[in-house]
Amino acid sequence: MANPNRMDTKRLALSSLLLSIALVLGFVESLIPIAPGIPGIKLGLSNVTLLIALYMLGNVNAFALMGLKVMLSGLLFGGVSAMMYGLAGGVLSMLGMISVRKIKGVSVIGVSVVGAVLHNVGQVGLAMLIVKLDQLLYYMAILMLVGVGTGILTGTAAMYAMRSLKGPWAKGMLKDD
Amino acid sequence: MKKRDIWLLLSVVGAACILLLTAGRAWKTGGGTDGMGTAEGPLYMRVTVGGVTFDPFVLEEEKDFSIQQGETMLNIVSLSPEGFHMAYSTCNNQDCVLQGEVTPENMRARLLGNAVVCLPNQVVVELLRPEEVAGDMEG
Repeated sequence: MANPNRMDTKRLALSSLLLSIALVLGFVESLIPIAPGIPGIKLGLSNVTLLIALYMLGNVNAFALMGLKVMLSGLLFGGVSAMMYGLAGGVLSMLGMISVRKIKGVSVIGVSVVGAVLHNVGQVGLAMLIVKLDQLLYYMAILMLVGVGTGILTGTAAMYAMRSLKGPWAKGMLKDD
Repeated sequence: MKKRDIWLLLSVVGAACILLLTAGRAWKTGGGTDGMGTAEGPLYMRVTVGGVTFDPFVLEEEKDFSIQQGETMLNIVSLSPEGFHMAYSTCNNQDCVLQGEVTPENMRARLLGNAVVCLPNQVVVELLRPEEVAGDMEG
């Protein structure tokens, strides 16, 4: 029988590793200007780590990871404003991903797309509440379409990463075991 | 990708397209960019700071317009009779500075139309035609 303490340590180590990777990816993608001047258009690379956390460590761990990622990247790079928008997008995105994951026949790519789209919807929704500008609704629609593309990309990356991660070393630790 | 994924993607794309069409139409018929290039008379600029909208004013000459909030937040808008651009901002992401110039000619091509938005500082600057300003005053 597997030692539960040993499993907790492995889960903690994986959570910490995913958080570090999420922070680095978040910083790296801020250096890649895919649409300069258009706020909110990003590849969403750190969503790969949240997807891995969701599938391998469960809902609670993934939610905690998202909260910590938003808080730390806000403190390190973006400031209070980025933290606020990140949290609005992150919470909506996680709730959407958790709900869609329960639907049978939806793969990690589908879950990722819903997460990416809702992340953009959450951020622009908060911006609409704050600045009350009609154009932002139009902008939200554009970001939803962008989210479909970036969601497919990050979902595919997460799928391949999880295939590699689900080795014998992870036995007993994963949520689905 | 599974069959249900494709249905999910199509649903999201469909919802986005409906939003794109309805929001785009409402915005352009409700005083957005439509017909801006044919407007006669001077252009106006309207500033909203922290949800408070100030009266529009005419763009008459080239000058810098500062929006100072407290000691740490500052936006400088560079004005001319043809339009404006955000020249400087204390915000972290500098998205507002990168949004470029707003003129009657380029507004149709801009994603945010007649506006430059600085979300961290909660500043919105809009370019308006005389009819829109008259509508605002009557409203």
